[in-house]
Parts: sequence; C-alpha cells; structure tokens
Amino acid sequence: MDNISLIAIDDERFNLLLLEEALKGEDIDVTTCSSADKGIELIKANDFDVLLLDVIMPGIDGFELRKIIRESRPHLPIIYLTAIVDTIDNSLIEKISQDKLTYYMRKPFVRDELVKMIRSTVAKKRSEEQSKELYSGIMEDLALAAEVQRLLIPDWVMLDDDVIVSSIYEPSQKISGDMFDMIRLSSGKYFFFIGDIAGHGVQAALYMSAIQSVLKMIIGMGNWDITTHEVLNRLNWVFCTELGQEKYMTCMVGIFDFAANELEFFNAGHPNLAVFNPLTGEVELLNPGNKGGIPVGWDKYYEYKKDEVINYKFSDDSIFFMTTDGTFEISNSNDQMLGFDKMIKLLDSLVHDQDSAVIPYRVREALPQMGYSVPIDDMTMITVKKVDREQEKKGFKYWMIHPLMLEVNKLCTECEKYIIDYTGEIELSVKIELILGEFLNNIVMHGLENSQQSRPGILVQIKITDKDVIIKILDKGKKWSFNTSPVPISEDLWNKDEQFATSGRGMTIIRSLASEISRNRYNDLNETVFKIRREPR
Amino acid sequence: MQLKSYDKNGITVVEIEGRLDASCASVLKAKFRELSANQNNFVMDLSNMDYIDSTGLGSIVSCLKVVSTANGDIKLACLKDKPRMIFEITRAYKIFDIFDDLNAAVESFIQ
Repeated sequence: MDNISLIAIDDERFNLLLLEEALKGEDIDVTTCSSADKGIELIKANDFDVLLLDVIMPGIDGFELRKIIRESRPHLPIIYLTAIVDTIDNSLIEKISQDKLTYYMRKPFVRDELVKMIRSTVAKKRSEEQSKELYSGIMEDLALAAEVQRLLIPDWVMLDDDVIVSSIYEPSQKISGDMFDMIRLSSGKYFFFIGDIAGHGVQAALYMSAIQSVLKMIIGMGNWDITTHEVLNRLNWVFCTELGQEKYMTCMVGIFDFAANELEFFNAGHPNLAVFNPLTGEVELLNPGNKGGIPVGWDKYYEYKKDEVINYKFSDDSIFFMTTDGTFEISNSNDQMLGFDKMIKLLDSLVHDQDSAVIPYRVREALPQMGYSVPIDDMTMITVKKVDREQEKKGFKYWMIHPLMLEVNKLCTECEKYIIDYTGEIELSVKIELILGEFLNNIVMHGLENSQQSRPGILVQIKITDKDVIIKILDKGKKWSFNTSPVPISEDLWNKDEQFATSGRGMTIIRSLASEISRNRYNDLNETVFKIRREPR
Repeated sequence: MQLKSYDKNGITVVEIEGRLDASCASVLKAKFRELSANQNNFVMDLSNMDYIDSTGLGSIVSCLKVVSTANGDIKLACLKDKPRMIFEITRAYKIFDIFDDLNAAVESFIQ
C-alpha cells in the first residue's frame, strides 16, 4: 500500500508538533498547517488521503472549514481532534455525523488508537475508490459490448428487394438476450429468426452472440434445402452440446416466400406470431392447432418435426408482428403486466392506418402513456411487410439510406428521376429534390448528434397522387421541432448572416415548397411528412 | 463538384461542374478566398452545374458579399434549367445578374 498522505490543520503549533512526533515512524507523510486559509489552499492543490482538523480555531470553526473543503474535496475523510466534551444533547456528535466521511477522536488521544483510526479511514476510502474505478471500467466494457451486440442485429429498418423490416430493440441492461435476423436466401425468399435467451444481462447476451453466429453458420452451410424444423434441430443440438445446459431459448424460425406470398414457420415456445390480415381487417394470431415445439436448449434429443410447421398464405398488404415477452411483461406502478392480449389489442388499434415501419415505435410510445413504464426484460418488436415493386409503377416507392451526404445526393437524384419519369413535371421534380436534399442533409449534419447508434438508417417513402406528392421520412435523429407552417420566401433570406446559411435557409425553402408539413416523434423515431401540391393540369 | 478558374479579358471565370451542395460548398468558399486576394470581379460559368442547394447558394452569396466590400461583383452565366428553377424558387436570382452567355457576362464588367 502507498504511504498515507495526511494533512493536519490546527492553530496551536504545539498540537501539530505533537502529531508529527506521534506519527513518526509510520508510513504516513504528514503535512501540518496552522492557518485555515493556507490549509484550504494546500488541500485544493494536493490529493491528501485524510485530514486531521481542530474543531475550534480563531476566525473560523472546524465545521465552517469542512463546508469550504467539501466544495473542492467531497470525498476527503476528515478526523476531528478536539478536547471539547459533547453537550448533553449530543450536538457535537450530531454536527460531526452530518457528513458521512467525518470521524471524531478526543484529545488527548492515545497514539495507537489515532494511528488505527487513520489507517482504517484511509483503507475504507481507498477501497471505495477502487470499487468505483472497477465499476466504471465494467460500465465502459458493457457500453462497448452493447455497441458490438447492436452490430450483430439488423438496423432499425431494413429495406430489401421484396421486404421491409422495422424493429425496436431495447436491452433492459445495456446488453440483451434478445435477437433477430432476416437473411435473404434467394430472390423473394427470406429466412427470419427471433429468439429470447432466458434471463437477461451479460450471460444472456453472450448466449445471444453465440447463437447469432451459429445460426448464420447453419444457414450458410452447404447446399441444403433449408427447412425451419431442421434449422431448429441443428440449432438445438449445438445449443445443448456446445453451450451447456445453463440456459434455454424461446424462438421462432421462418421462411417468407414473397413471390408466392407464403410463410412457413416453426414456433419453439415463443410468443405467437401476429399478422394483420387486410382481407378481414383484423390482427390474427398464427397458432392453428397449437403447433410448435419446446424451447431450444431444453432437451438435446428432442426432435422438431415437420408436421409441427405452420404454413400461412398471406396478402401483399399483410403486416407481420413478432415480439419477445419483454414487450408485454412491461409493468405499471402496481406491478401489473401489460399482457399479450392487451398488446395485441393495442396493435390492432394501430395497424389499420399505419405504415408498417412505424408500428413498433407507436406501440412502444403508447406503453408509458398507458402507465406501463417499468421494463423487466429485454424488449424486441418487429414488423415485416412485403414490398410490392409493382407499386412503384403506381407512384409509390421506398428508399433507405445511411446518413451520409453521398447517399443523400444519390437518393435525391434517384427521386428526381422517379418523379420526372412518373409525372413528366420537371419543376415538381426539382421541388422534391430540393426538399429531400435540404431536409436529409439537415439530419445528417445536425440531427444525429445525440444518437446512440452510429449509423441509423433513414427511410424515405414517396407517394404520388393526382393532386399531391407525399414524402414521408423516418429517422432516428434527435428530438427536434421546427415551425411547420408554410412561409413565402423573400429576398431577405439571402441577406441573413453566415450562421443562418448552414441551418436556417434550408428549412425556409422547404416551408415555402410544401403545402403541408407534419411532424411526429414516436419513442426515438421521427416521422416527418411533406405534402407538395401538383400543378393542376 | 469540380472547380476550374481562368482569366478572360481581365475577369476571373470560375467554372463549377456537378452538384454544389452542403457536402462541397466550403470548397468553393475556400477557392474564392484564394482568388479574391488578387481580383474582385468574377463570372461563374454554371453551364455544367447540375444542382445547387441552399448551402451551395449560401456559399455563392457569401462570395458575393466578400467581393462587394471591395466594390467587386459576381455575375452568373449559362444556368441549366434545373439550377435556374432553384434560383427562381429560392428568389436568389434577385441578388445576382444572370446571363445566358458567358461572353456577355464578362463584357458586362468591361462596359
């Protein structure tokens, strides 16, 4: 252990001399000081382990001095040495104990007792400091682990040729035992997986990372005809033999065939898959005959059989919703959980007029408003919807970009071309390009400062009707509100100062071009909608 | 964006090619600072400029302010249809003299 550095402040030089002599021969470096002002300076300038202090000094008492010292050294242990005998109402002891790092020893002191007190006080302080350092190191490691883990799962929105997947992924303790993935197998065919390792925290997160890699290995292994029950058999075997018997995992494995509008999936003890069926206008739970199997990891000899696979024929506009149990186990202040049925009811109320990408965020946003604000487990919610490319010929198209200026430029050019090809209106296409360029570059340059994710994607949707073009932009940028009412442009715009050039003019231009702007924030997702009127023909 | 500059009858012509937007507006301003040390009258040849956004426009306005303080000017020439529309939509055309022909823009200084 390093020498103890001690400072003693006492107006009586005799007392300081006494202390110096008493502590000689110990591994204690003693600094003495007979003036309070000088003592304060020394304490500010040096990192002492402990302070010995007299209670009564001319001009200032030891308690006043403590208050001043605490401003610069809130964690410095203080031992009062005093000849004062406490009053009958214990006011001295009470004053001392108002500060939990203050101790007390009567004068005249017994040398060994004083040394013992100094040692134990400093040992306690050093051990607390070590714990704090250790804790902050662990928290840093966890933050890094969370970042790494986030890279293992898809971005909040994934747009591919045939599918759009939107997700919310919320670990209860920085890292999570939840996982999901969507892997393209061939044109129109996608493999999906959602899983939940029992428990949460570090262990669950390590399992999650291992399973995520194993799964990719199984899918990518050789030329085999991937079937959901066989993926589970292989996964279960690896889980039980390679990862030990400590944990288990509920999961759902499926294959979407968007060319045939068919879904094949296997449920291994996981919450049911829900689907919004546009033909009935209702949200249905896909568990016909209670088919499925036990969670992965329970029994290495268990066989996931083909006849437990569920097949479902869906429509172009069907919206699939998957979740882990953390979503509906979220509780209110009376410890009541939301429950699966209520979650489905909530979903049913939202799904009809909502974009599939927004739904997980609307559900998440609604939970605290309904009083459910105490998550007890990791939460994952996913929506999956077919992207019907035929819609592009009817004036409806999606784009997804990463928040980079280069990608913004590329998108603007593509959108401009799309508008010209569809409408033949050059001025309209220029307006759209301007709005998109100005708004998206604003997000890239100013909107992402506080984002936890390094590269959260931006989803852009364009819908052309006879009267308007509607642009919807979904981004995970910071909370940001702006005046959305239309404004005409004046020449004065160009007389504003430099500062305005980087953040003000673009929004004014947008407001002059759009006939309507609406802005919403659902959880941490911004939804901005611009309506641009087309010139009447 | 590509920038080129050359002298034409004592006037500096700056050619801007490609997109002048938030990602490269600062490059134009830096180039201008360099050029305006020796010259106050400029023509921007925009015949190859495909697009301009508010930050790009802001950078040209900023260059104009610099030369104006030294009694100089910037004239714009040969705007393509799309950037021309953007100048109109944003009313930026009101603060610049815009010419359809490069020579006319250069000669406007000499007259």
